Order: sequence, then C-alpha cells, then structure tokens
Amino acid sequence: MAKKRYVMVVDMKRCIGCHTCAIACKSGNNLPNEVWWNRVLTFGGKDMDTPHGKFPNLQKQYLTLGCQHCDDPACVKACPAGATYKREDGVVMQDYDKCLGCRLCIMACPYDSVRSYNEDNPEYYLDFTVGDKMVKPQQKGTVSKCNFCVDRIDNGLSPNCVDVCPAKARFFGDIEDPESEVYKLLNANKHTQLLADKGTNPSVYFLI
Amino acid sequence: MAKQGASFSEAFSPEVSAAQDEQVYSCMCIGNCQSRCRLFVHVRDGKAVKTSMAPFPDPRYNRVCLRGLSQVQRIYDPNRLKYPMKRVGERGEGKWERISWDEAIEMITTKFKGYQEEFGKQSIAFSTVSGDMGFVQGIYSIKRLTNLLGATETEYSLDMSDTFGLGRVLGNGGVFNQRNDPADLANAKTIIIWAANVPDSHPHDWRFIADAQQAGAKVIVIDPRYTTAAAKADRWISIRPGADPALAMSMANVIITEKLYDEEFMLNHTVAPFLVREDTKKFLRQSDLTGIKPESPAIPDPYIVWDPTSNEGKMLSEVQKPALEGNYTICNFKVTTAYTLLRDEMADYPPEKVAGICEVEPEAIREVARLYAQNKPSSIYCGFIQYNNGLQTGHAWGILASLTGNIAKPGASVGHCGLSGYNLNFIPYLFPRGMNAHIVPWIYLKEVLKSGKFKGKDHPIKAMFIIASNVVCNATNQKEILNTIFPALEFIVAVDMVETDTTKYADLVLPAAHWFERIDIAQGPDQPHTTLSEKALEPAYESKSTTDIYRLIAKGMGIGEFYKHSDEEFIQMLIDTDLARASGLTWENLVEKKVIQTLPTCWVNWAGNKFPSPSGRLEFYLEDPKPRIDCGIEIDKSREHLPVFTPPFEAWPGNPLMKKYPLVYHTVRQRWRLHSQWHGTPWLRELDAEPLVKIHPKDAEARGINTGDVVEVFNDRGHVVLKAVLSEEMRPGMVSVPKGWQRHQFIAGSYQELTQDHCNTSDFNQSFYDVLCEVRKVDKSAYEKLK
Repeated sequence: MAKKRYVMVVDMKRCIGCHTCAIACKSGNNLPNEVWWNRVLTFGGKDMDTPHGKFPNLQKQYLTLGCQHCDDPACVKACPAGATYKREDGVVMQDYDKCLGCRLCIMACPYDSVRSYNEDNPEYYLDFTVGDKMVKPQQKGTVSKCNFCVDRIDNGLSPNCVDVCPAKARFFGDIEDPESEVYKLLNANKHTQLLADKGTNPSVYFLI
Repeated sequence: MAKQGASFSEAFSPEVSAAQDEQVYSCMCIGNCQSRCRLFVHVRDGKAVKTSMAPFPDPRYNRVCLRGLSQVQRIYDPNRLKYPMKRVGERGEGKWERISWDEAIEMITTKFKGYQEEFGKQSIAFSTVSGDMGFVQGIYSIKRLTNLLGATETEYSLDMSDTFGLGRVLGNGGVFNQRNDPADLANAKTIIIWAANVPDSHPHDWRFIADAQQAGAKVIVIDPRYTTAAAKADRWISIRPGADPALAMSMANVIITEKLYDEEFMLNHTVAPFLVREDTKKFLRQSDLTGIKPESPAIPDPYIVWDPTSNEGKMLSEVQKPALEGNYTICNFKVTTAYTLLRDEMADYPPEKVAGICEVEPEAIREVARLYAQNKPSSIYCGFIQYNNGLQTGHAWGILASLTGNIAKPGASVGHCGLSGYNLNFIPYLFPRGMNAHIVPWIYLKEVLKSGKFKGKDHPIKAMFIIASNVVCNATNQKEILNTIFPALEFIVAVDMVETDTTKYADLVLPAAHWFERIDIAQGPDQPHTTLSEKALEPAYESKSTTDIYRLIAKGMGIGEFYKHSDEEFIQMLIDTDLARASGLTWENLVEKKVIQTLPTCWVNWAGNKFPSPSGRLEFYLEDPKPRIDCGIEIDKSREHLPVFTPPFEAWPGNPLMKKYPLVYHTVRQRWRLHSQWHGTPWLRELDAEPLVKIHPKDAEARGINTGDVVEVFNDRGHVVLKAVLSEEMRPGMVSVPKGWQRHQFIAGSYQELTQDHCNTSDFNQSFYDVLCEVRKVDKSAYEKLK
C-alpha cells in the first residue's frame, strides 16, 4: 500500500481572515493563554486587517500559519532529545515528555511563531479542561505546535480547523491518494508553498 | 466547487465523543448575525467543554464561526450575573444589594401594577432588540406579555431605512422578508455588494458569493472603505458616504437611457403601465370612471391602463400589451404612466451629474448599471444603510429590480434576510387576547416621554423592562439615553447574562440563563431550516430562562393562566400549522432529528412574481406612501412617490457643522463581536485586545497622529478616547471605530456618545453612520487625567 502523506490545502482566494480556524484549534486543543498553534496573518499593510498600497489602489489577503509539517523537517534534525519526530503519514509530532525545552527546534524552523514555548506553568481562563479530552495536556518548559490533530485523525475525524472554515477554504487529506480532494485541488489549481526555497518541502499548500 | 470535508472523514463522531466521556447536545447559536448556526455542545462532568459545528442535512449550509466556537467562555464568564440585584446608591454608581427572586418579582409586579392603576396600562414599557433570537425565549416572546398586559412595547428602530424603502416597493412594508436563500447567490452572474462587508458581518453568506465568483460571476462592491469584500471584488467603487441613493438612481438613469430594461417584466409585474392621476397622484381605477366605489375591499376595483391599439383606457385584464409611456386624458382625468414618471424623475440623475455627488467616475456608474441589467441574473446583496436617506436607497433598489426583472428568479435577489417565521402559529402564541400593546418606536420615545403624549393621547410611561438588549451601548446618542430617557423613567429593570453598559444603569438587574441552559427553536433566515436548541446545562447560579422569568411576572400580574405552558408546549403551539407539518416540522421529528429543512435549497422569494403589494406587482411608484409606524405624524408624500435624493442628515458637505467636524464617523461591525455580545470573551480579546480607531494616513498626518497614539474622537454630543491605527483602507475624510465595546473598555467615553438620534418620521430608523466628528491626539498629561 502506498505511503500516506497528509497535507493541508488553504485557498487564499477564498480565505477571509475570520480566525474561525484559529479559535477552533485553540478551543479543541485546550491551548493555554497566549498560545496559538494556528495564526491568521494579514498579507497587506503593517497592522492586522490593513491593506497594502495607497488608496484606492490597494491589496489585501489573509494567510493562515501553523506548523508546515515539512517533508524534510529542519526541527527534527535539530532536536537533541528525539522529542520532535515525523510519523510515517507525514505528521510532525512533538512529544512533551521527551522535550527538554531547549528550543533548538524553534531556531531551526524557517517559519516564525509556529511553535510555542511554555516558559511557566500553562495558564488557562477556566479551571477545567476544555476541548478534546484525548489531547495531551501542555507542560511547563516544553514546546508545542500544530500536530494536525493526530488524536482526531487517528479516530477518523478531520482536524479541528478544517470543516469549520466559513469560506470553505480549508482542506486536509492524503496527497498520495489520487481520489482525495487535496490531490484533485492541487492538480487543478495554481498553488504555492511558504519559503519553498528553504528546502524543507512543507506539507501545507496555498491555492493562489 | 470542491465538497468541503469530503477528503477527510467527518468532523464529529458520537463514538469518539463517548470515548471522551462527553454528552453531546444539539443547540443553536442565536444572536442576530442572522446565520443561526447549529452547535454541538460537548458536556463532560456537567460542564460544557467545547462547541463544534453541527451539520445541516444539506452540507452546503454547514457553518460555525469564531464566536460560536468561543461559547464555552461565555457560559463560564466570571461576569455572569448570578442573582437578582437591587440598586443602592445612584444609577450607574455600581452599588448593588443582592435580593431573592421572590423579592425581585414582588418589586416588579407591585410597581407595575401600581403604575398601571395610576397612569394607565401603557405606563409600563417593555424593550427588547435582537440579543436573543430564539422564538420561545427570545425576540418575539415578549409580545405575549406586552399584549396581555396592554403595555407599551418599544420598537427597535433599527435596520429599517432601506429595508422599508424596498419593502414598500415589494408591498410588505417594514419586515425583513425580501431576498432569496443566500445559497442562491451561487447562481448569480452579477453580484453587487452594496454597503455590506460580507466576509466580516455575514461570513456564512460569503462562501456562496465566492462560489459564484469561481463560476465566473462578476462581483462589484460599493463601499466608501476598502473592506475584505472590496479586496475580493472584481470592482470596488469607493462611494462618498451617504451618496448611495444618487448612485442607485443614476444606475436607473443609465438603464432607462440605454434601454437596457426588461419591458415585458415591467409591463406584467410592475406598476409601470398603471396610470397615475395628476390630481390625486393615485392610480386610476374603474371606480374613478364609473363613480361607483366598491362596497368592500373584497370586491376588486380594476386598475386602468392605456391600450395603444384601440387608443383608449381599459381595465388591466383587458389589454394584452398596455402602453409603457405617455400622458393621456381619460374621462377628464389627466394621467401619466408610472413608468413615464419614473423616467422623468430618474432623468435628474445622469452619471455626469451624479459623479460629483457620489465622487464616482461616470464610466464606473455606467459599467455597473450595464452589468446589472445585462449580465443576468443579477443580485444586489444589500447592507443596511445607516444614513437618514436610506429610505431612498431602498426605494431605488426596488426600482432597479423592477426595471430589469432581477428578482423572483434563481440568482436574482435583492434586499434583506428572507423567510423566517412564515410557517409558525404566531397569533395564539403572541396575541392570546388580541393586539393590545402600544408600539412606540425607540427613536420616538424621547418625544413621547417629553410630551407625555402619543398620537394625540396622554401616554405616560413610568417603567421599563429591558431584556436581550444592551440599549445604552447599541442605540444612538448614549448621553441622551442616560441623561434624558432613563431619568424620565422611575423604574428600570434590565435582564442579561452578563453585566453590560445597560445593566449598570438599571434599578433592578435579573440574571438570564445562557442559550444552552434552556430549550428553544430557531429558524433561518440565512439557512432554510427550523432547528431545535436543546437544554444542555442547568441555568448557572440563580439565572433563569426568559420563560421562567415571564412566568413569575405573569403570575404576579394576574395573567398566570397564560403562562401555564411548559417551554415544550410553547414550541408545540408555535409549530402547529399545516405549513409546518407539510415540510415535516412536527414535535416528534424535531426531537428525533433536531433539524428539519423547512424551505427548499436555494429557494427563490416571490417565485411566480407574486408580490404582497395591493396590486400584486412591484410598486416602484407608491401611490400612497405612508410612514413605517403610525405615530400620528404626516409625511411629505410628494417626495416619496418616487425617491428624490436628499443628503444625509448630518454627514454631508454643505453642512456648516463640517467646518468644526470634518470627518464622517462610522461605527463598524467586526468579526470579534456580535453587536456587544462576546465583548468580554478572553480568547477573542487575545486577538483583538483593545478598540482602535482607523484613520487614513493623510487625515492622520494633518493631525500629527501616528499608529499607536492615543486620540480623542469627538463632536458636540460626546467623545471616545482610544488608540489609533493608520490604514489606507479608509477613504480620506472618514474614520471608523468598532462597535460593541463597553464603556469600561475604552480609555474614556464610548463610541456611542457621538451618534445622533434624529427621528426620521417616514422610516423611524436610527442612522448610525450619519455622524460627523473630529479627531485629535491626546498628549500624555491629558491622557493620564482621562484614565
């Protein structure tokens, strides 16, 4: 059987920057205060929701950014503890139990702020666990990041951020499967990857 | 369009939930974004731990947003009102004494009965808006109480300018049922998004517009500022704020001049061929010619049209193809076709002249008009016009649809919201003893309180019960509310889930249950379903459902027999119609399936061109224009048979006030809040930490303002102090402040201090953007004082 490779596809033409995917991830994974695995960036002016250019010749798009689950991940090479590793199906994992908090992975990763570091005990607004119970709780002194919601996908569910998208701009699946939606979308549409020239071959594609 | 989620399984599985010790309930998110999303509420150990998107039978309607997914933080908000509280100290001082429900209800009913005895039934007023859109617990349910008690009910005076303008053309006046199913937008070839930032305010409608674009549709956005909608449009027209009626009428001018109209549609489905009497301005009818008026409205009084083949006036039904244009004399009546009057009125708005009014190139006006008329089917996605001249804009939209036939067809839609409640049994539910409430528009309330009269009769109002409404935050001219309206009321009760700007100024505060803490049903309007919202949790602390609060009040007011029903029985009463049953909407089905699709996918409003007007046609010419609400005030009909461009009330060059306050002031909807709900949600505040005023760099530079500076935005009515962000998205000459933040979240003041409360006596609507302001940088020393 052909090896799986999970990828995410985001249609930048449709994305409206609404942050629903960011909140779905935050709530489903019970992320601590100030920790975001999925961020929405404004591809325009300096500040959030502002455009590039001079009135009235303006441009604005949105870009969602989380771990790119690279095929040839720089973080895995950098991790001295084996805490960061890549599964057979392509998901780049972070094992909190093994993680030393050295943050070499953050330095090696070409992408800004896709990994979060819990310097202190993770803090939450509510005094009980929210989100999916099967998600591993965060730990002090460790790094965390998007893991394509492995607990969900291993149970046959889609990642938290995919189906919720109001603009219907997010897709997830096995790029090695010619019947999959992601395969068909990438085949039929112009697309790009972020910082492709860094050579890590990210598994997140943007339709442009 | 690629099917969402088809690549990777489902978003929800009962087995996975069970394995995580979750009980999952099917609930509804029912603020008034109009979407009414289905939510699964995941409960673990008695606590809601997550909300997730629950599907509709047709997956194209599946929806949820960042707010629906943050509900858990609202349920457990530390600012949840916990128990009834009585004011001690002055209003607004923030000093409260906890009391029991018995004491609270005793206070309410004693005072209410006392006022009604001494000052009349109308002396107690109930005020609600759109904070809760469930049918049993929310917006409509208050009418049962007000009609049983013969009380005053304030009408919200919101979103009713263009809505009423278009509504009069359709014939259903001031109700929101106008457009097709939003999913039908995917069928349009041309979509004009007018005064709406769909991605931020209606994200779940956006996908259908994106689908249309992918299929080759042209999307045009008409908006002063460069919104996300503008960023995705094929063409963005930055119109001068408040100039919308002129632009719409200029489009009509182009369509008429270039003969791009659908003559067959106009002759058969609009009042175009009807003959308007020069003397009365009304349509010529059979009874005018015979002199015999029908004894009852049930007996038809046929309209007369001109038959060009026999050169005479005849009954509409007798003429195959009546004259579209012309002046005629029939039995000494001088008449003109309604179309001729329209043609002549629209002749005042050629693109070259309107270009100056709208600050839009004439060629852009022509291009949009031609697209709308020819690249069919075309839809106008209407935003709510927030200027005093919105009525004319809506009327003009009705004219555009009438000229081109871009209505009542797949892909051709105009106006707001759509069908909701059409299949429900409202009469026994809302008016068990008939219609006895006195409807006073909020925007007219100040006048009624001042004069003590309404429609010429004494109408003292002594008390107000406010529920599911943060009126101090969301209604115009905040200082007038706090300094004039509230002081005129001896007793104010406010009911809400959390402390708000409004509860802070009440005399008695009651804690309301959250939406998932009681049962209800909800419908559309943005999706074609009737959905059950289950009770997932017990009301927190001592909070109560709306119905439980009404039951207690009803008992104390002597109308307890009308509230003997359980919530389930109220729901069953509401859905007890043949129409509901015909679409499978029964109690048993609701309980089993949770959601019933009660309208067809991509349903088309007014199918068959059946309009609810007196003539059954689109009445772009109004023979007898009336105000939206009867407050005993005459209007100048001469300016409303057809729209005549009038500038906005305040925000317009030529207003001398502009010398002092040169910037137009917008208070805009953002994704982070729904009106003022979600104002305190921590996850959302991490992303959107503080209110910011957006200003164009040119206007900022002239005032020495940079991004991050603390500024004061002000006019004669009030001020708000907050940080500034420079953005090229802003049209020079205007600023925008996000609405919904509470007073305590600003450095000083509130965005709502600046807005005006002019009462338009035709549409009785609040004009939120019809405001001028100035902005100045606040230096450090002053800033410290303000804090």
